[in-house]
Amino acid sequence: MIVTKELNSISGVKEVLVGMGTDLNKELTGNLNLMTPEIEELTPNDFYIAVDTEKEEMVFEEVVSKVDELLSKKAESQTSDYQPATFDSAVDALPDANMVVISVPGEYAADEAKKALNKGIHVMLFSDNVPIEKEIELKKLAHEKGLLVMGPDCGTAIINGVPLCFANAVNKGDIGIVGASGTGIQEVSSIIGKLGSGITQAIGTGGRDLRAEVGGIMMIDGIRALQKDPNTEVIVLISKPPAKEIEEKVLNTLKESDKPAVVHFIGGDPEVAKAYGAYAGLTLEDTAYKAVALSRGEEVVDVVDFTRDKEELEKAAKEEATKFSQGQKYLRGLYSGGTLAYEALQILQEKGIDGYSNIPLKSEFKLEDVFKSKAHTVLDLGEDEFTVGKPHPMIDPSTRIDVILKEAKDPEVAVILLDFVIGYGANRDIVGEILPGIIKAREYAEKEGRHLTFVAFVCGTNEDPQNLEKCEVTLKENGVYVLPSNAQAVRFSEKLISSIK
Amino acid sequence: MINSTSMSSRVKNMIEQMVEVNGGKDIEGFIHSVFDYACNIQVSDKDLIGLISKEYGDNPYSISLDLPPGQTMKKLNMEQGMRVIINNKSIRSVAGHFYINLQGADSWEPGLPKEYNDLVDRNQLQSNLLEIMGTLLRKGNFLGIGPLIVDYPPIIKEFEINDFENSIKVNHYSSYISPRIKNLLYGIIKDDQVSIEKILTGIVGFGPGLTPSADDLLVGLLATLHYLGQYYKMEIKAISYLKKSLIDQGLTNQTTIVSRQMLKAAINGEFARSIKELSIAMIASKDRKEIERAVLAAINLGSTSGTDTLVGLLLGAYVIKKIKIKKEENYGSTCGSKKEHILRFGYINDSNKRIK
Repeated sequence: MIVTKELNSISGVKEVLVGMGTDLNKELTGNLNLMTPEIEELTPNDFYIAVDTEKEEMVFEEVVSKVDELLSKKAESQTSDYQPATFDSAVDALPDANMVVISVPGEYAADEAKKALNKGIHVMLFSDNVPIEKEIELKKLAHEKGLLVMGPDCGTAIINGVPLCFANAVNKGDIGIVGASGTGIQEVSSIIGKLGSGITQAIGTGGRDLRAEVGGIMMIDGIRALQKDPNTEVIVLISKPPAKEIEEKVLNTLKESDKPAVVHFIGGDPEVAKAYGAYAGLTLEDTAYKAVALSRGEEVVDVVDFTRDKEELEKAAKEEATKFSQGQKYLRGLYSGGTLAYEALQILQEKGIDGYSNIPLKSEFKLEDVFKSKAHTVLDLGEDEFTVGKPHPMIDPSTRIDVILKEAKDPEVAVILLDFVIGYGANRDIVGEILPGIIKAREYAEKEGRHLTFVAFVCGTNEDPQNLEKCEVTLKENGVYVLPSNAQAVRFSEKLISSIK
Repeated sequence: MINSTSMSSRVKNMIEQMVEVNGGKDIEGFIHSVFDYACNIQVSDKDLIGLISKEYGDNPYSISLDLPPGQTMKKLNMEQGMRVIINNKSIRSVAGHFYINLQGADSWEPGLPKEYNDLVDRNQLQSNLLEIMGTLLRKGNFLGIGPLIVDYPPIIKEFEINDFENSIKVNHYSSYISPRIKNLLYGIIKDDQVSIEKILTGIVGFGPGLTPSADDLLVGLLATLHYLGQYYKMEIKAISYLKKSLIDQGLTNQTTIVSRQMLKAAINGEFARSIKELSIAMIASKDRKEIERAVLAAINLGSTSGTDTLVGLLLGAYVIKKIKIKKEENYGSTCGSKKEHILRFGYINDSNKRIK
């Protein structure tokens, strides 16, 4: 209706018809002498606009541009950016682009990615549910053409200083990252940034790249790209432990150049990386510290403890533990970042605590019902069972708030551990949105005569739109213990639990 | 996860039956069309299940959803052609992009009430109809075929329309379809099955909108045929004639799939909740404000759909009144004459003639 009204107001427009292609609407169109062969072909479920104009050329162009404006109005009201409807219209709008981010349902994503590769454009494939055979086909094609396919299911990359999808604003430097883990890349790159260093590129590969079927094609191409990059002095690899034969290929590739490398196979044996002459990252934080040390030519040491205020933190943990009531003894880690949750389980295990989870380290600790925590539990709330029909918890905190409130009602819970991932792609005020949930949970516990301790860390930098420092201060002001990394937040939580008598 | 708030018993039964026929297993459909706050899932060649934000009211063929502020169907990654799995508890995309929980949704009955506590007398009914017309003329969206209401002299007289002729502009759609609608009304009053069937082929699927305006008008017409039929305790034969043409002879195939669904429901006396509530208020309410509220809610259906439906509803009320008078006065013998046609509708028009 708006289209009819607006088009009728254009000078030189004589007739406007807007409708579905039913026979009767076509009949009216013919009656108004507006019939064209294209309209003849329409079916009742097709939409069409027919316009009769005076001075054909000029007025018609104005009409077409008005229709474009009106039909794209809704999309524009949601975001000020132009949002092309197809890959081809995106290429038309930005003919010089050399990278495309694809986020369409998995079944269509591979076709779009192929189009891009055939045009010589690098691909970041945010989509998941892309069949593995399609992934292999795309990566082989990209390899032949000297292009990157980051993904599928790749949520994080920083290319030439531009954060893509979920990523942080990290200063430029000389550390290059290739990773098969989104939040892993975020935590490492953010800590590098917080330490005052910077990165060249952070290349995501997608979680399946190091599986035997895919063969680590992009991890290897990514390493080689960083080896050739004159600005990159230190290379960082982040991934879950790969298939054995792939591990060998990847680590051998690192030996093709003299650039030092830090390898963090999360949960894997550090000795493997060392055997190939690389430095082994023991945690995401330790990986970042080692890369920064190498970049600065400093001594490389293991960072596996609190990096500041160690004594105060240990004292605080002991004091805090005295506030818990009888029966309060468990930790509940409620994570938005999958790799961060996995790392939490790893660190707890090293401290002798097996955590139940929806992504457990041992199958016997798999939660039967992910909505019912047991003993010490660490949840990845970004997994499908929690996100069906909802955006990822880094964007939409509602599920996490629900789980926080649920855990607060459990009389055996003492500590709730949270990650706050900020940066591009994430919620603009994740701390502000979750805080009321924390306060409410604490109030609930207090009414029941219990004390609940919240421990958190913020993954991000001061350059991120949400500002790291502001987030940390807000949390601290509201009684949350804030540690500088995931690893330290887990260690502090463990200290709290182990201090309970 | 998105929760559904309500679901018509029609949709509920449809899903239950399809699952049962499928041996208790999930059924599969695909997304036929997606809008910001609504989408349609095609579950067979002819059946659609609509998903619609609860703000837009309940439809006989829809499930209403509790969408959080700012959430849209598109943001839920719904896309045309996407495959979905349906069972009695949920609707979800095969690829896991969205999950709609059907458990806990209120089931409501879109069909005609079996009985009424109290029906208004005829004077109140007339007063209610005037209130519906007045509110419609003040608040309606007349960019569809709605303006034809001021094109019929007997209607202007019946509903005491005074100042609105100038403010409501006739458009291509309304002037084109107006003579055909008049002929349909006349066919119904005359109880002329053959002419009803013939005229309908020139009406179904006409006009702007995903549910073309003429189809909306037919839905409104059917609402009064059903509800005033109940009020007067009359058997309205036109309903079975309309059913024969629209359903049995497949005339709905000449319109959109969404409209087809709507007409199919209307033939069976099933209407959008706001139309049902207005129809009940029309015959059972003495509260002017209640009538006004019900009209405003009905107008809000779609862009022009609500207005076109109400125009049909008021034309239907006029038709029923004439049928009633005809019955009471044994009026039928002169109805078939050309003279009577002119008396009733002001003039005769060739439905194929272009009207400027």
